Amino acid sequence: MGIITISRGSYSRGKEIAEKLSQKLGYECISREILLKASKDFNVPEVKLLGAIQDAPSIFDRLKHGKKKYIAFIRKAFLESIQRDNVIYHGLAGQFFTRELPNILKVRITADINFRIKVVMNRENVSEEKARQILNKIDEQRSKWSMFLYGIDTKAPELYDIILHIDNLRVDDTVEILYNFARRTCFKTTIETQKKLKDMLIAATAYSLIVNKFPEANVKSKDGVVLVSLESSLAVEKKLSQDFAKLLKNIDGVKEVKTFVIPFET
Amino acid sequence: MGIITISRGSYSRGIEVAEKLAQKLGYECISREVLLEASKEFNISEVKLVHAIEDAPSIFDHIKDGKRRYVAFIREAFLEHIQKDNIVYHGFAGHFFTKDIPNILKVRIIANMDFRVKVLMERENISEDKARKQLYKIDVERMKWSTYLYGIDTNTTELYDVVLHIDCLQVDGAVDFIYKLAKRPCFQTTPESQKKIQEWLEAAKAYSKGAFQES
Repeated sequence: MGIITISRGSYSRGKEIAEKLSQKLGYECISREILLKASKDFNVPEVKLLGAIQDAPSIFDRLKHGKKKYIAFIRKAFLESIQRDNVIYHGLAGQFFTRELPNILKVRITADINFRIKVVMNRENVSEEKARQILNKIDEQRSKWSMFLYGIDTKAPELYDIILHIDNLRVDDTVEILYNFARRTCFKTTIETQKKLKDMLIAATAYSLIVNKFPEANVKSKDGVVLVSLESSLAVEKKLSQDFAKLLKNIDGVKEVKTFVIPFET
Repeated sequence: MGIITISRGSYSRGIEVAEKLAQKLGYECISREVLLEASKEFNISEVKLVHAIEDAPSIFDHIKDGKRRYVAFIREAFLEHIQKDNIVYHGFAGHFFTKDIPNILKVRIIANMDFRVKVLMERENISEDKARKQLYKIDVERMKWSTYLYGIDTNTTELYDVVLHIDCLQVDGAVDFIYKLAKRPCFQTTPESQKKIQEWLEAAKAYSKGAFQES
């Protein structure tokens, strides 16, 4: 019983490792499925969701909360999928979505820059210089994206339980190492993890329902009690309370909805 | 037959891991010895040298070509030790000196800030606030030092084969994990890697000799 997220440097063979590891552990392996699910659930084209999770935000995004909205949709789809347990997610943002969750094994796979350049040259049929430029651009976008949304670089070691570098270690070594690592007691899903995950999913679902109108709202859940806090005029507190209660009470697992308005004037 | 370098965040229990690992593998565990040799060659007291490593580098300002010569001596002392094989080295810049030598297991051990704060509070009997400030200062100084001397940021994960978070594993878990990792064929010393260490050592010796004569 476990959940693993694998963040991978582009062209670092992380996908191959995730797939082989899931086969060995008998876990489900997901990646693009999350975007497809979010696209279907919220009726947003996949390409827009991909842009939101992949590219550094533009000034327009910052003003219009566009990325925030799409990421809320992706996060909800992600949390719903990993609830099934025995799952490996490889791809973007998994380490951020599970940051507060204990007992989840967070992995990062990196590779030597010269190795990555070779892969890009072969795959894209480009010169060494061009390959280097492509990789630099991708890496820069990833850093900007995570700095803007989470205030920390996606490469920061403190985000992960283990970082493995493909150089001396090969793909099969890495799969075997992670297989043994994942079986340690500290990475087994506990009742506490499941409870926390359930609350996170409730909060993410609630936020996805109000993000269009209230992108700045902060939604939390504890034991099924949802708390929506946002800045607004005190005059509308009662109405907002009623609207949120009506909208969110039918989410699976919700026991109560509380609204906390922080007055504009303070 | 193998060589392991362990770089460690301060107060992340990395020394404990290195010592226990060396014992389990039956390897020699070194760190301070390298410094001692360098300090002898460099005619700087060891206390001063350790102090320089803790603080931002200024010790070499008064010595002609100090930085370059210091790195050369440390490199030489380091390579001299590891060529004996079956070594666990913990401490500064091991991963930097072994960058292009294959089959050397390069590990970094880190811990969450809260974990480090607790370790420091217990060890020094100080408040949380003071511990946090002290750790921040140490991190900044270390970063300055490694950037100044070696042109690297020790937080760059690509320098290591594995970066390990100690929080969940704890010391014994980390020892056990690295022990198994070190037994893998890709981290066994080969004639090729030995030859490379030998070549590098000769180059380092020649360089140090040259550096001495110039001054």
